[in-house]
Amino acid sequence: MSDNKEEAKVGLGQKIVFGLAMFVASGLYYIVFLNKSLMVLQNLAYPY
Amino acid sequence: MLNLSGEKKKKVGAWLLLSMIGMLVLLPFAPAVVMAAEEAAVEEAKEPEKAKDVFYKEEGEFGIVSGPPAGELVYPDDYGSYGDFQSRTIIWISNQQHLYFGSFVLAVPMFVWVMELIGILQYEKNPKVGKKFDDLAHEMMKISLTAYSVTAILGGILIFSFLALYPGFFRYLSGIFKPVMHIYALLFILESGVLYVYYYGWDSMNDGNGDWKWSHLSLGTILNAVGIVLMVMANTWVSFMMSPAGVDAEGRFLGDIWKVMHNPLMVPVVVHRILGNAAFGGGVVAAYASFKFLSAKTLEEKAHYDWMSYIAMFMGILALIPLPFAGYWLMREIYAYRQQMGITLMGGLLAWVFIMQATMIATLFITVNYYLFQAMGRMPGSERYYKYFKVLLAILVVATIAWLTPHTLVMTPAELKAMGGAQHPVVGNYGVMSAKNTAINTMITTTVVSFIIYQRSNFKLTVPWAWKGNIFLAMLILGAEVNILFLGVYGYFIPANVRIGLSVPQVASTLSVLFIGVAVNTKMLKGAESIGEIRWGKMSVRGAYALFMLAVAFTWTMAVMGYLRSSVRLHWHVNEILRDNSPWAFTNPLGYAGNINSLNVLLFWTMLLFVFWLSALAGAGKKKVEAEEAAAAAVGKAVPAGSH
Repeated sequence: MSDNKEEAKVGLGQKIVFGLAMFVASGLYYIVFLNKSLMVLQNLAYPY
Repeated sequence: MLNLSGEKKKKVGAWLLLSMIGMLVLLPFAPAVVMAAEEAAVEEAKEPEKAKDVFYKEEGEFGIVSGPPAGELVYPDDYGSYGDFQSRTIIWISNQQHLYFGSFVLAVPMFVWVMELIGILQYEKNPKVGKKFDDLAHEMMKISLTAYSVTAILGGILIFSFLALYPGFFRYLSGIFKPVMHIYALLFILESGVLYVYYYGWDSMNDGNGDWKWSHLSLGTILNAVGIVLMVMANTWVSFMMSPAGVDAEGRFLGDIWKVMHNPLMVPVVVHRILGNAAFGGGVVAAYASFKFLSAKTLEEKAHYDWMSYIAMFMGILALIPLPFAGYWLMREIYAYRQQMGITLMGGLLAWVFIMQATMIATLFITVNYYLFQAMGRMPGSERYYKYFKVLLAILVVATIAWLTPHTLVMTPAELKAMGGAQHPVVGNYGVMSAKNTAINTMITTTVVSFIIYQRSNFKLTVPWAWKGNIFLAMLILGAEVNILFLGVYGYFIPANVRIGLSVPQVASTLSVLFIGVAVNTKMLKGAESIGEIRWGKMSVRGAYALFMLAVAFTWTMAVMGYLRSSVRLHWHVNEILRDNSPWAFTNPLGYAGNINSLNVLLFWTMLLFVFWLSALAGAGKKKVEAEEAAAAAVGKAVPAGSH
């Protein structure tokens, strides 16, 4: 992955910050968007 | 005689063809019209008797009694046998063989349609690539054509077996489905007609991406539509046997055939089967291409069949990935229909068959990954990724072990005592659905990761945002896996009715990696620098054998799951309506079922090798004629034109 010349110019700090931002975004996507919304929708479809 | 110019002849031909297809399309409606008139006459004649539907409630709860009761079948009057053979086993084998070939001839035209469309769309940009896809589609269709005749013959054998061995049951079922039986038969004629025009018209309707080519593709659309309708109709008989509707408690038909067909398990069975057929068809075509790859003499041939096997495998996998989810939905609907039926399948009498299925599915996913690893041998630059294979394989193995762990074991009292119960205190925890769902989602996610690596293995990324893309992909995959594991563990702490819902976000996490991951990866590869062209034909022999393994595993899984779905009716021909009173109403021991399933797989592949050999025979004849023509042309000798 370090084959890319452009990538070599990017500092480690910048990568860590972006990585953390993506980590949070991915967490929000999976927990809030997928888990919560799909469970709510299912409760509407299959009210036990 | 009428003398028409070339263009006029084409037009007249087109109109004749259109009217023929139009008439064939309308043909299936003819019996329905006649029957509707008959029904109206009967309704007017007398005051109808009404009865309660076994499934439909509230609106449409009552229907007009329109058929005799199912009654009680008596052995031996209502059953037949050949010597000491179990009639049920004969029916089992006939059904399975017909289903194998039926699935194959249903799936291949789907691929052919996609390949032909790609060919047409590519033709303008690059005629050579367009032709390559078109030739591939044509070759696939050739295999399907021979298989089509075998399907029809096996269908005939199946009907005769029913008439000879289960006349009482067949009388009842054909009585219920009488309003659509003829439609089925007539649709079969339509399917045959369209199939032959589609196949034999391939060359004469081929004008690259012109009007005729599009008309040819439309024929492919009709062929697929009719094929799917045929399959849906055949599926309704099977799902009616499992979960009858549209009849009263005595099994009397209540006059609405749609209610009979639209029984509670019809839709999930249809969805599961369409996906299953597509995956199976892809596997079989990939095996055919591998067979040709292994026997190819020239590098050119090897390259062609290597490419063909990859395309077929890829199409099969596209269908395989959603298949476990469709299966899960089917099981959920089975539980919703009759909880006891679900328990018999997954937690009771037949649960061990599910373990057999799990073994096959794990084999499928490991084989797909193994094939991708082998296939990377033909990609220059893939060496960079070899180090990841071990990690991916380790994840797959761990997931497989969790996936295969049974909930409880059959043991002697001493063994039970030593273990402290039928369920192992630690390992037993992996025997429940929370662990299984986590395992299968992990396996699919890993396969997607393998594919993402495969996609980029001979490229050097050049987009300036490549580093961001890589981090994004890593977080997307990591997040999905953490979420899959989290939901799996969380499932142990909540009641079953909530737990069952967790599978949906788990699946959505896997699908996120599939759709978002592959889309972002493809975007990242835009304008990427190629390290070297793909060396088609240079794949290892092991890779080709892996595809064989894949196809056989598909076949075996179908046999096992078909047996399972059918056995769940236990001692009923039609669940809770028509009882099986033959001496073969018991559930088979696991070993016997395994042997018959294996026999079915062996029988199918033997017949299929014959089909492959036949198509190779036709190809060899054509090549011989071409070689003779070329030799004659070289010495300037006239030769008669060779037929196609």
